[in-house]
Amino acid sequence: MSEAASHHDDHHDHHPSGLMRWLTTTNHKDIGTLYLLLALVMFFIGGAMALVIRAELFQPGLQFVQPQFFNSMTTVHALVMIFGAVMPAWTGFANWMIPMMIGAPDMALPRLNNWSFWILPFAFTLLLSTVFMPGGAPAGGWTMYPPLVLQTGAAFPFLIFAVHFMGASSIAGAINVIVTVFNMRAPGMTLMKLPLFVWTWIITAFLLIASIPVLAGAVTMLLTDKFFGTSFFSAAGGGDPVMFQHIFWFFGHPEVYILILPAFGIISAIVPTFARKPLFGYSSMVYASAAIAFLSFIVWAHHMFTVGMPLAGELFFMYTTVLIAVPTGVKVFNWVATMWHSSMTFETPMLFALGFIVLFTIGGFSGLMLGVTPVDFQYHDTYFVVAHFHYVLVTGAVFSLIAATYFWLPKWTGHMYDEKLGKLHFWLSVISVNVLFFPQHFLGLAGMPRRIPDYSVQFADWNMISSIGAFVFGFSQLLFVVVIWKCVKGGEKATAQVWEGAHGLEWTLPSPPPYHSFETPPEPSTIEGGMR
Amino acid sequence: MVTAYEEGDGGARMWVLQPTRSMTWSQAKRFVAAVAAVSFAIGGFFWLLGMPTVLPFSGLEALAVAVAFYVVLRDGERREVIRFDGDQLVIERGTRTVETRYEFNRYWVRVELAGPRSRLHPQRLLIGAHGRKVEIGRFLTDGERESFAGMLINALKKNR
Repeated sequence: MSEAASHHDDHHDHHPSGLMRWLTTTNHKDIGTLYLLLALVMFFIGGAMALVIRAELFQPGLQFVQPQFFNSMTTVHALVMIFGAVMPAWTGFANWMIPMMIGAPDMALPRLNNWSFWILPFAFTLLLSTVFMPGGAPAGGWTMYPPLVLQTGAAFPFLIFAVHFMGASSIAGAINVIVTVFNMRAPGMTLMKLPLFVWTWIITAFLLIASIPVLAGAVTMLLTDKFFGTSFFSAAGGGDPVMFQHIFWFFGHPEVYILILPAFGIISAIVPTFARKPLFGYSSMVYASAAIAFLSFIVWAHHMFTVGMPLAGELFFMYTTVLIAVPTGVKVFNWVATMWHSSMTFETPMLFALGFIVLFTIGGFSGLMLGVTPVDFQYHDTYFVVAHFHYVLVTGAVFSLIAATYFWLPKWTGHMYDEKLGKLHFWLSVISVNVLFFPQHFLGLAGMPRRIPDYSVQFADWNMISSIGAFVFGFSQLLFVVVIWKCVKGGEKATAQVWEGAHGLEWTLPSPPPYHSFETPPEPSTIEGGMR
Repeated sequence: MVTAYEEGDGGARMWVLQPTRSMTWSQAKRFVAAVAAVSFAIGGFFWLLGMPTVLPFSGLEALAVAVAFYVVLRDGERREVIRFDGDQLVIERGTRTVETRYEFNRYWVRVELAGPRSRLHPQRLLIGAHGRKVEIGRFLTDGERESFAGMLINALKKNR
């Protein structure tokens, strides 16, 4: 019997097995898993680089590596952690969870989804291969300031193209999220009923769309300055190196919120679940996220107060920076109000969420200190800055990523994870991360500059303590891998709802969910508004 | 999404199958225009400051956003119309106009919900008679396909 089917209507035509399945998959859960695995691998590669840095800084003097290699480690560690670990991890969570949260069977553009993931392994092969090139890996800092970055050896074009690939992947992921959320929502899922993770991801996607072309333009000008005789950033040719700092941070500050906004969505899902209470102030959370996103575009020059701006500029950027504390404070107070008089339990996701709220707030406060212009003159380019952004990005973004993994792992695998190991992972992490980063505030206040392989002896004690914290924190993360591995292989069966206080469409699906989520669109009555 | 149109006797005589979309063309146009405006404003700002390479990337990106919305909304315009016409079961398929049309004798039609080609493949809804088969509803979810197959079988039985 012949088949007259003439139209290849969907993206599920061929399903090879083995490696080819993962290369050609267009399924949102497969691609989400790929993103998360890549992020985990990059987290350990970037972490290994951090341990090289902390090993060298354990004592004053040069023990293990040469200064050039040390600077390569600080540069590549940052690029790997930002573009290779945290951003792909968020895209992985978006892929896994957004279709399930909005009641869609898959992402709107599945082939684009596959492509946006598979760009990344090539981008990071390009970037990491530079470690073995003549002249070494880029060593001018992840901010790629000229003229220093133009002294990079053979690695320079590889750096630029790697950044372009990472940007293209991010844009493709952002477009997919936007098109999916605006087109594939289940009937009855209005915008103000979206879970906050979806809201914060939409806002993140808009930040990516607005900021990535600026980064692409900036690094392209670096490329033309290096190879095509232009002088955008060369003072000798009439250009202005400070202009690069403006253009870079016009991208760079929204980038910080690209890394942290989805974390706000995660915490807004976890806290109500384990507090067994609806989220306090859902609408204010949405508006606060949008306000933070808007403000992120008018604060960039607080990264460069010391370049010699006019006083009016310094005042403007100081005020706008400090203003960000208002919507961020709204969020922190809403989380606290959600927990107030609630029936909390302290499973591992909640522990990491609480760790996030306390420690991210410390990072926020040190950010406020840095936002005050005259104060920043003292702190600029010291270890105080290093402490600040690691409180925001490690105890902020990374803790929320870990919390989210514990939160949704039973849903993904159909098994409960080992709670004892999870709690051990939390306590080891939360203690060691403070041993690692809190002393860096003192080092910075005492005047220790960042990005140096050797230092004066008066900084020795706190550096030693910080390095001990780094090694304990780094090796504690192996426990995370053990917990995930054990959970994937087996364990107590997870129910569909998994957590007693969980609400939302993803918890109406079985654990693990079917390969194609929501074969039948969810009933509008199952959609709750303002819960998370 | 399956929409059934009933005739006077209460039985469904026509079904329209289409992919689910939440946005209209005019909403999408306004949305893309707003995204492009912000993107071009940023690119133009840097152009005026003597940094011309941002604007081409802004343009590329605005184009990518527009293409993404076009592809998804155009894809959402696909329709499959299944209806009874005298003794015939007519299947018409196309985007905006009828591009292909199949006719089967309604008394010989078989509706088959075939299993997936592999574990990861969605099931297939085949309609056929006399050695010919047409697969329909490939953009539907498995649940919608099952439900529609049931409706069609009932309608065929009722009209025999």
